[in-house]
This record gives sequence, structure tokens and C-alpha cells, in this order.
Amino acid sequence: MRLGAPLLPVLLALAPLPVQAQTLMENKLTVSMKEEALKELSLDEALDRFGAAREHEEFDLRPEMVEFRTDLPEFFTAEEIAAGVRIREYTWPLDSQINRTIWFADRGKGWRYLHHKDWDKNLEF
Amino acid sequence: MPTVHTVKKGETLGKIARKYSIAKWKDIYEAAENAKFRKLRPDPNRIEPGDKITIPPCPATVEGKHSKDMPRMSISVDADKALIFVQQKWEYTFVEKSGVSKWTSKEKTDFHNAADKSIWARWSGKFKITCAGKSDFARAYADVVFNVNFDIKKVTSGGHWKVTVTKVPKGSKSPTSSVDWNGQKITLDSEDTKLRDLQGTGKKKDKQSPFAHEFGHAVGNSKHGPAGHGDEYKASSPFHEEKKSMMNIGNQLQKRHADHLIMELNKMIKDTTFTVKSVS
Repeated sequence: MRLGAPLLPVLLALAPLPVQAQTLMENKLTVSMKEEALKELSLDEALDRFGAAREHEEFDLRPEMVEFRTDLPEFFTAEEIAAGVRIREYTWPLDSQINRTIWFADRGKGWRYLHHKDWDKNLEF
Repeated sequence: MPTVHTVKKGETLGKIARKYSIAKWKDIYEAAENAKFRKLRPDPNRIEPGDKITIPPCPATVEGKHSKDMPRMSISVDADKALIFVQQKWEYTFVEKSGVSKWTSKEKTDFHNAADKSIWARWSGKFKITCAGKSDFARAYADVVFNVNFDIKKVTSGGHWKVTVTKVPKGSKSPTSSVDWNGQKITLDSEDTKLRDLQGTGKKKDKQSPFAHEFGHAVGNSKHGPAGHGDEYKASSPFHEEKKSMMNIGNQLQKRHADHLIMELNKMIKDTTFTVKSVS
């Protein structure tokens, strides 16, 4: 086989990426799964799949939440919120510019996906 | 250059102090600049026509107005009025969520006025700032307690911040408001005019204004800015437990919320250090 010009892009594509670029690419491949698949995730599955989160915390849901969490009360009735709902929030880097935060709630079947937000790392809410 | 006063017939140190609006004549007589004069006239009640006295830095002889424009805000200091004025120019783009009517001119004006009013009410007159140091300014205004006022001005070009506001149906789920410190962009929506009971106390005084919180980022409470601290509601924030704080889920300003302003003030006048004395 002659190594002519048409093969050059293929060889370049097969060349190993720098380590940092590889890591980001792997992150992107694993963290950026389709929304339908995301919705099926349990917290344990997410941690298995995405690895340790960059940040995580647990908090009580209130009828009104800070801008970053403003969507969350819509997933529950006022009665459920009044009775007490705990939320677990995990954030992973999706790539060098975007973070993905996934919120999990326990509705009797363990900690399952509730909602997610992909956000630019430069933003503050 | 220091001001040198030549004593005229009939003048006393008290009269000279009043002439320069200096409260105590001792501040003139005992100033370091007048060490030689004190040796010449050890009795302050006996000064003579023709004596030369150096007037220490005082409001009458020191420039009290300083200002600077920066990428994200402008600061004006007027020491004679004991006022520090912080202004941001906001360059708006108004957009609509699909299916929502176009912004009218009045709605745009009303939105800006609501933001301006809310920010003024929650940020202005709260910080009390003093200065110290070796500069003439610091010596002249050492006793002044500065008030700080914050203002936003609507502009059509040359804004410090590009502000995009989305009109959404009233009472609907609103897009997430945010501030991009590096990009100098603010994202707001028409529902940000409403106060939020994030602490769940039901008390009006505890409710947070989205305008005031986002302005807090734009005025320097950003982890991407020199102050290095932004939102406080996340568990990773060292101020996570201070729920009443404006940058957390409350409505109260803290001294640290002026960190960036203080950093900038301290660059404005050589050998002058500003400090937040109190915040209400």
C-alpha cells in the first residue's frame, strides 16, 4: 500500500493524543451520554461510570431555591417538599469548558437521577 | 507641596486652624512638619507676625476627588462629601422566550429601573469605609467615614457589562440567571424582578433579590476575580453556613463583599489604605 496524501488524515487521527487531551476526551465520552440513558442512572451507577465527582453535597429541597437549583422544586409537589426532600448534587467536568451537575433524589428506590444541568465553568449563579 | 502659612498680625493658631477648617489648632502646632517651629516658639500662645507655619494635609489643601474607570465598573471618591460612588454601565440586549410577546420600550425601561432600584436599596449606604496611610489624602481625611453608593446605568454602547434579559411568561420557570466575570456578561430574565424566599422564613427582610445577588458577582464577588470568592451556598464555600449572607441564600451584606472594591480603592491613591469599618 502506498502511503499517499489520502491516507495522511487517517494516520493523524490514529496518532495518540496528548495525555491531557485524552483524559478530556474520555471524560466527554463517558459523561456526555444521551439524556434518555442519563435519566435511568442511579447514583451508584453514575459514580461507577463517571468516577469521583469534582464536587458533591446533600441538601434539603425548599419551595424556592437558588438560581443554580431553581428547577428542582418543580419535580415535587408542595406537600412532598413540606414533608422533606433530600437532594444529592454531583458535579463532573464534561470537558475543559463545561461542567455537568446531576441531582439525585431518593423516592423509595434508592438515589436515582432527578435532573441535570450542563454549565459553562465561567458562570456563577 | 505642603502649604506654608505666614502669620499675620493678630493671628493665633486657633484662627489659622479655622481658616483651613482644621478642628484643633494642636493638629497644626504638633504636626511633624512644624518641629522646627515648635523649637522657635515653644509657647503656642506666642507666635509672631512673619512666622512660617506648615499646614499639615487637610481638606482645604488636599484634593479630595479621585476617580478611575475599570473594565467592570468605575469608582469615584469624593472625600469632601464622604462618598464613594461605584457605577456599572449595563449594555442591554432584550430577547424573548418563544411564544412570548416582544419587549415594549416601557417594559425595558421598567426592567432597568427595577434592577437599579433593587441594587441601590440593597447595596447603597451599607458599607462604612475609612482610610489610613502616609499620603496627604489619608492624613487629611483620616476622620472621614465614607458611605458607598452603587448604581447601574443603562447605556447603548461601551458598557462595562453586556446584559442579556429574556422575557418569559409571568410566573413561569425562568432560565438560570448568571454572571460571567471573565466574559463581562450578565444573564437575567423578566422573573428576576421578584424577591425569593430562599431561607424559607416567610419574612420580607430575609428575601433575596436576584438582581442584588447577581450584582454581587459583577461587583467582585466572583471566584474568577481577584477577591476569589463568589457563591456561598455551595458546601465547598468557606461561608456555606452563613445563610443570611447576600451571596448565600440571604439578604445581608458582609464586609468581604466589598473585598474587590477595597482592592481597587487601594490602587487609586498612593500610600492610602481603605478598610471596611462596618456593614449594615
